[in-house]
Amino acid sequence: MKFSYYWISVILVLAVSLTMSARPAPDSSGEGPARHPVSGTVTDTYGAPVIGAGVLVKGTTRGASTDLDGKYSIEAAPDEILVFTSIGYESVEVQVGNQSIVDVVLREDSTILDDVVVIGYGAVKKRDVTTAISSIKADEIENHSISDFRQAMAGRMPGVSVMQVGGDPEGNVMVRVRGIGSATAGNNPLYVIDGVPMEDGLTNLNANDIESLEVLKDASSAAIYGSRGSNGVILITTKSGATDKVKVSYDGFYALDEVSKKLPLMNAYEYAQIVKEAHDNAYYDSYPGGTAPNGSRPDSWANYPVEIIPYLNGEPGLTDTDWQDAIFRKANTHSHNLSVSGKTKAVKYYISGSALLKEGIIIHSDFKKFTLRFNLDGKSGRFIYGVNFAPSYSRSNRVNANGPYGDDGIVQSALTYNPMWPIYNEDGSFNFLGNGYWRVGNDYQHNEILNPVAVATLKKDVVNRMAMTGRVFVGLDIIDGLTLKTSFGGSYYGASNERYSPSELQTRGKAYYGKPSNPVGYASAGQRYNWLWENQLSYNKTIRKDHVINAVLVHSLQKNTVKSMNVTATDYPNDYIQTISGGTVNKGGSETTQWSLASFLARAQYSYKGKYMVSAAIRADGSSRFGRNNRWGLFPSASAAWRISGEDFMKSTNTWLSDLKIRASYGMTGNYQIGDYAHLSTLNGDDYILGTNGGSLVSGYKPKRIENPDLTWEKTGMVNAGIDASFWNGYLTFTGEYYYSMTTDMLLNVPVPSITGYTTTLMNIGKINNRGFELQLGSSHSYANGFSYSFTANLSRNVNEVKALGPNDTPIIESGSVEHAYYITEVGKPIGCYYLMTVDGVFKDQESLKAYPHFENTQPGDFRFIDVNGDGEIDLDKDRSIVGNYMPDFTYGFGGSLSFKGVDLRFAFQGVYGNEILNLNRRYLDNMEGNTNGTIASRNRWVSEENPGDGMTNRANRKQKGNNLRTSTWHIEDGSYLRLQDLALGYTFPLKWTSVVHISKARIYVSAQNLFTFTRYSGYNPEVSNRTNALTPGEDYGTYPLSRTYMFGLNLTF
Amino acid sequence: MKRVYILLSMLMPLALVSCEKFFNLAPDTEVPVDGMYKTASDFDIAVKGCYARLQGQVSIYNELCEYRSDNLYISAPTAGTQDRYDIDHFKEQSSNGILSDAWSNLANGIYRCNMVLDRIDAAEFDEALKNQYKGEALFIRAYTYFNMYRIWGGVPVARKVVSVDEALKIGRSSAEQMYDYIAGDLEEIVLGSLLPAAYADADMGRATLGAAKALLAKVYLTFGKNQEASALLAGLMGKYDLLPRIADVFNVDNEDNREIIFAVRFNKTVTGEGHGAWFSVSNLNDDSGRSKILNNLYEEGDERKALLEYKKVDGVNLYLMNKFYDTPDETNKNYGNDQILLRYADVLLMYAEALNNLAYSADQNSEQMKALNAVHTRAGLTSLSITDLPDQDAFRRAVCKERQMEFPYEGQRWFDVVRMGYAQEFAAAEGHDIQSYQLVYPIPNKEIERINDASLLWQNPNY
Repeated sequence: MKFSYYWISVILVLAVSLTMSARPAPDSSGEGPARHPVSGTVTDTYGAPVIGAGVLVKGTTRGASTDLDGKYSIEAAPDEILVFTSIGYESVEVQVGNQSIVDVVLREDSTILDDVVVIGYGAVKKRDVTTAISSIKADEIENHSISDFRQAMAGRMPGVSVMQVGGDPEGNVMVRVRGIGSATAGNNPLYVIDGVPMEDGLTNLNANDIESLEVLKDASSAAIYGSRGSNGVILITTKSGATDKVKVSYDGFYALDEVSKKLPLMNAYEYAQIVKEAHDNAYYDSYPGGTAPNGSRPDSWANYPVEIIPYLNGEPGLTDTDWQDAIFRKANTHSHNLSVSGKTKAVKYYISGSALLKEGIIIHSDFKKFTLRFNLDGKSGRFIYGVNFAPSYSRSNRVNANGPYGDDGIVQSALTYNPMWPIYNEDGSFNFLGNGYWRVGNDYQHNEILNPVAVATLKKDVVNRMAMTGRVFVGLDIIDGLTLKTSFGGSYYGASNERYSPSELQTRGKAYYGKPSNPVGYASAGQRYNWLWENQLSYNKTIRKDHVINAVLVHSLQKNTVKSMNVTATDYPNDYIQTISGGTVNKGGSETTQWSLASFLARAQYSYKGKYMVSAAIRADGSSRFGRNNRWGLFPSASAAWRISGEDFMKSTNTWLSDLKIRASYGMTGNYQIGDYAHLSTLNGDDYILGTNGGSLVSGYKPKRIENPDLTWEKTGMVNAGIDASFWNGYLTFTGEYYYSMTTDMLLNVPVPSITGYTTTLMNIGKINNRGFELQLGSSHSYANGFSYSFTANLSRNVNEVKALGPNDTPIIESGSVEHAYYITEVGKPIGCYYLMTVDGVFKDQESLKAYPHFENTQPGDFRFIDVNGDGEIDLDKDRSIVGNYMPDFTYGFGGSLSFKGVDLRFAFQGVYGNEILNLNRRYLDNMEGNTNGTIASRNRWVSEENPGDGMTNRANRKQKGNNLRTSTWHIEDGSYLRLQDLALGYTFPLKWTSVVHISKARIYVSAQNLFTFTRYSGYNPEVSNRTNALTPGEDYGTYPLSRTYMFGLNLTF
Repeated sequence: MKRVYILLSMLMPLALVSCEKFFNLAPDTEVPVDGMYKTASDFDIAVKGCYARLQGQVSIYNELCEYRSDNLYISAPTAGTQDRYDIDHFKEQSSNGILSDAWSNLANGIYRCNMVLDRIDAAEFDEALKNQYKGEALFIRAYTYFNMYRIWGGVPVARKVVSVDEALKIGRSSAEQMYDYIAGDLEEIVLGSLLPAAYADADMGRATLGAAKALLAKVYLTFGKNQEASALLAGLMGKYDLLPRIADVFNVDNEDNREIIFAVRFNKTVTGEGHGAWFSVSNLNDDSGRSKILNNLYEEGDERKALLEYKKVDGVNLYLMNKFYDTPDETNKNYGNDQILLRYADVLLMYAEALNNLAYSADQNSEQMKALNAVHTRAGLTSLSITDLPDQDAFRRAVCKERQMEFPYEGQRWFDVVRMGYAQEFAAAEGHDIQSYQLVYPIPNKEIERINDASLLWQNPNY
């Protein structure tokens, strides 16, 4: 390593010195002030010397270059200016004055107008981009404790919302580009890795392998992916060799995670109080003035269990389990990444291997990932060729963190579990008193919940994933500028899942309290094969310097096959053999699904003098997923840009306005995420029992879907206008975008009369509009003294509006995880709004109760629901209204980096403003029923007319009246937040130390992720969204909390 | 030359695409409709799919007929039982989820039958089998429309598969039209003898000609056609048996017994083919569940009272009534009782009711008295005396009471009291002051919104 480094440097320096010395000094007879010797060191922002940098006296031909240690010496007069330049760095000018030592720090060129942006089937110079594309580079992705590369995108790209909806160790990210464009089809963007569109296996990608990540945001840029472009396209380009010298890098870190927030729950003593009060109140409601003592009241639920009495008496030292502490832990992560890259005249190569070992903050959850990548491309005569190959393996031990306790969701179980019960019995076995001990015998109607520590410990759920992606291509330069390339890409993705629930883990429910369960084992395996064959003819030519032409013609075929099978077994004699073999198989299935896509596309781009740029493209897609009457779709796009600053009449402003470009684009894209066979009319099984002696299974078929030969893509047309400006050579940069998009032929499950046999049918009938703007400001500069900074801030706003819904524009009302957690999608409003009754506190006394409409059995202390329609009656349906939605008013992010003499500091904030969360956990945590544990919000409850609490919280009552339990604005919360996503401090050791051990760069850093979140949201995570359906977003019903991460890391380059 | 080869290779995929085969992909876990409904076996499997729909309708009887009536009582709603509570307390609104689920479930059952009936005449296979499949589909369709009529009154009727556009133009049928459709389907079975009188062992449980007759009689009775009803029922006398012990009728191990005319079949050991525990309680002190009215109805020695006693279920912390007692399957936790929809005791009591409706008889040995007493004495009681039933109304009330004691939780009670005209009276006895409009349920809101035309699908008055 040291070897090549050394020789390359030597050659470079010699070459430069030779050219310098060979040249006579033409300006030696200068008059002006006397020159004096000036020397110094040129380093980069990490403090490493810049070798071979040019030092030129401005306006002369006198110059020098730096040596192996970055040192130079030159003679200059005080009124002269030294210009320091090096490829890949911004140039720096320094007035000599009477300094004799001028040390300079060169900053890597980040404004980089000549940087290249990947646009799909090609790349353009950043200065020639005519559409709306956001881009982040490797340095923004590396050095984060993430399992999924998409987590690094959060807050960095305006218009691209990256929501971390859960904190599972394998990452749980939802990406949306410019809002929601579809109600029933998918809203996930298309991911294209090195030219190959991917659907899954993204978790298995190594974030360190990514060179750049581009998001095609407007329809004009995304239209190049035609029927798959509507939700935006994310192009991932992996690294290749860039330096002549072999570069070996090691990046590693250790991270410690802890839960970012704990909910303030009642302790056992406080909980005992509300249990008593709730059951007492239920009794007095049924028997006003009743005097029966506890234990002899007529209804079982009017009594409270005797176990709470010692707690009511305040006896110290009783069991008081903190169930959050019981399921959360401090978790460790290790990551190691090693890569070798380089280039020769003939080939560029990049080889990497990585290992990530990440524990989850919930006990017994972890994730391990191992990846390899081999990228090679080369040139031989007129042929170009290349290979990418990336096998990977991951293993995930999952816990059932999401969902309600009724589905054994660990997090909600822990929040609701009775703190009076211990985790373990004295003999070390799990304690299951929460699973109905208070229901068997006398039924106190205390909800049955499984011990969450037992669920996390005993249930086995392992996912193994194996992915192999690869691509080979070969191309030929036919004539000057014309290249023909054919590439074949493929991926294999295999996942297997093994689960086992042992007999020790009881079945939830009072009927099964205290009994071993019948163990259940499950195994599934799925495989996806995907091949893609593309033939591409490209023409790139610069004619007479001013005319740049890029044209591309592509034909592409892709086919995807998914095979899956699963078996369930039960009746295990014991828990010794936990695979399917140990039990009796009682259920199983297998399935193969396929889709195919054939496409043609053409694109032409023309640029004149870098001032006028136009681009036009058209793609035709044919897909098996659509009805035979509408199998082919056409997706055109066009865009243009004008670099105003390049015009002669702008010369006068060049001193401060370095660059100004305006852009406009229009494009049409499609959305094909509707399932593979939605257009076919089919039957599937619905079996019956016939025959004597109890009967036997007989197979039956039922019709499943109405045929719809007209089913076709949703189409999104979008106009985009943008402006890019740069002032004072990058001191300030600005990018602004405005867009307006309309999705038509939106697929909707239109409600139809049940007499058709169905309640809904899929039709291309809806319209939805997204419009908004995105602003990005940046400032960066490097000072001669070595200090440099870079700040960026972005803000984006998207407005979503439904424009049409089916024949009568009938609103679509859907329910979340609870039947009466209604969502409405109606014309003129954003998709998926919460549609609930409004609570504005509780009735304080009889007076106020009489003064306002209320339910028949409402009493003081019950909720005061608003008579929204003003008809003087409270109606569960008619008094619903839109009370918010999950879409934010705007999202923003800001961050920066500072560096000085090897020390670098980096921070990033991100925020969301104006979204609401439907916190369904509150139906247990804050229901005042005393049937599960809950939060200390109960301290504010109404107790009596004299003691009305905060006026917002209802009375404790095991049998709530007045529809207090109805999902309402009581469960809606503001989800706005501002999060310090990232804070990092690094130090790069001086080269003179590290070179001793043959290291060209050594950097250590400490960082913290998710250090603070400022929010009023009472749950764990204000980004939560339990359901994937676009019509019912933003629900929190038990979720894996996010973690706060502290990291220590090391970057080494040899 | 090389260049030419490469260019040629590019044309190959074009040839591939021109072939529709690339796009024509079909699922392998579903059958395209085009390939079905051809052979006898195709229709056999499609008809079984029609029966399968009945399994999902057990709850409709339980919620809309038993909870609605004075057989069951709920003291207070919980978060999950609000809709049921509202039905029990006559407070349901048109948005009640139980009602909208019932409507779409029943309509889907009709659609399955129509898929068969639309195509069976064109198919070519054994005529006897063809008649049987057609008869079964007609039977299930008639039963389903009969239930919809009893729940909501006249509903939109499709007698073939209808498209969305067609469906948007179909309005509610009148009571006369409902009668014509329901009785028409059943008369077609009976007059054409489409269904066999009995099946081979393996097919036991399919609808028989006797089942069609018993159902048709109930339709006649409901629409006040007492003459037709009594004539048809007379033909069923002696064709089935009353088991000596009523408990044997419901024994889960005795589902092939001679009293059952038609039942919805379940088998707990087959995953997906059992059901949850019916009317179970976890605490014997709870006052929700079996109503006091029903409990107090029985006299000493009535074997039917013991059928309603709760018994601890082996292996779980639950109690089930003896009538529906079963132990849950170890694996899938399901129970296996069949839901009996028609049995001989029902035929006898319908016969008594129809004859009495035609003319009161003071004769202790009249046909109607014999039918009533056959059921009464089977329960271990002594015969009723006609002297205690001095007029037509007294006799009808005796039949009504006998039916309540004989059929609790079998999906009869609410329909019985509505048919006999005692609904308001019995509701009042349970503490609910109801109006005559409440004898039918509100049409589900969702359905009205889908049609969105009050001249076609209007709400029942006063809802």
